[in-house]
Amino acid sequence: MDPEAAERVLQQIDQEELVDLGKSLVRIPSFIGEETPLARWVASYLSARGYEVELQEVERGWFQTVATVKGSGRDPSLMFNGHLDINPLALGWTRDPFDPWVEGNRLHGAGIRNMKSGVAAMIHAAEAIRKSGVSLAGDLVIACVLAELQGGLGTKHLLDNGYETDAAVVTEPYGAHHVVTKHGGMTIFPYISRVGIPAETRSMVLTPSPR
Amino acid sequence: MIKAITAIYDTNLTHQLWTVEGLPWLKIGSIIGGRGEDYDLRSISRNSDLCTAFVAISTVPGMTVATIRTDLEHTLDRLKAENPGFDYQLVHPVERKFRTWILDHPPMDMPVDQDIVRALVSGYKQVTGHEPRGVGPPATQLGGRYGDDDAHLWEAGIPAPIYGPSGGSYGDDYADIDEMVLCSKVLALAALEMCG
Repeated sequence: MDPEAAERVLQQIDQEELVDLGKSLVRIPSFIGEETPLARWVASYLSARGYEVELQEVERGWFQTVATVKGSGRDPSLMFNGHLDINPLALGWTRDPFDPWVEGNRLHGAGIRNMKSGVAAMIHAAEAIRKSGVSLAGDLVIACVLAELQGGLGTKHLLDNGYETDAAVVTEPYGAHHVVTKHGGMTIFPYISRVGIPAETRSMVLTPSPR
Repeated sequence: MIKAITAIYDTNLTHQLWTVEGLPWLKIGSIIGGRGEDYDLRSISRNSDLCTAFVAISTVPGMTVATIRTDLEHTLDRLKAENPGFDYQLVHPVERKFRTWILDHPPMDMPVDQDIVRALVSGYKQVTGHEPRGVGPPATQLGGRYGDDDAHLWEAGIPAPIYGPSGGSYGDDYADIDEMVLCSKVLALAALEMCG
């Protein structure tokens, strides 16, 4: 790696700009199945900065964003991959979750941990390279996918549609001091219990509750 | 249902030993009951008829839907034999109406000797002056329990380590700003290293 190029890129990392980007991502709710408004915002943000952007329709009306910085040569390609969908709000919020705020070293807001901070960090990294004027020889793909919290429908769609880079980094919130290469999988089984109900009471099942 | 939940938690999940600690792991985090087949939320039932529990299982390599189903059925069939009138279903994949978990995430187990891992470690050292605290499993057992898209990428032949900022959740969700900045720097350097 050219040390001078690396230094120019690092000089473009700007904490205030990065935090502002994180805040912008928080302000647009993106619960599972409702990622499209945020996908459109990210597409607009990246298009305005000269990226080649595709809004991918994974299912009818359900979009994710993929941007590419085209490389000038044949070096390996790399994908930054992060999901736009956020978990349902847990209990315990003391302020409006969609009005982000900073307290000390912490940026607060709905979905910032899992994983709008990672999405902001990867977009800002790509921005630092672009603004430095350093050109890459291989393609850099920025994939802001949907439905990771549904098992990864967006990334599967991405792979099925030709975005097969030579390597990737997934910016999930496992911490900036660890590089994670192994962890468990997740399988979900809805278990349905059917309790025998006496025939004479069966009609009561969906009656309004007594006051 | 209470007996069934206890039985599910007591299920012996067939698996081989793995280097990520604390797995396999099973948790029921969500239950919907007493709402009929259509999960109608407009009233409160006085008779429970049907109850759905979402059983989340953190898997290790070798565990499949088939092995998990067999293990759960073994437990629940025994309960059924002891409790006339009780019946159950195990449904997989999750029906779309629940708006969750359309796919499964397989376990992730990628060798660390990949160029992209080296590039991240190199970038981290360049920024911080020292080695990362860990390369391989997550820092905590809890971190090892969640499936992620890196496993889909790796299954497609794309080396895909996880590297991203952490924080805290469950009330006033937050990310550590210094970790966001560090990640941005390391990711940028890794891109320079990989893509020239």
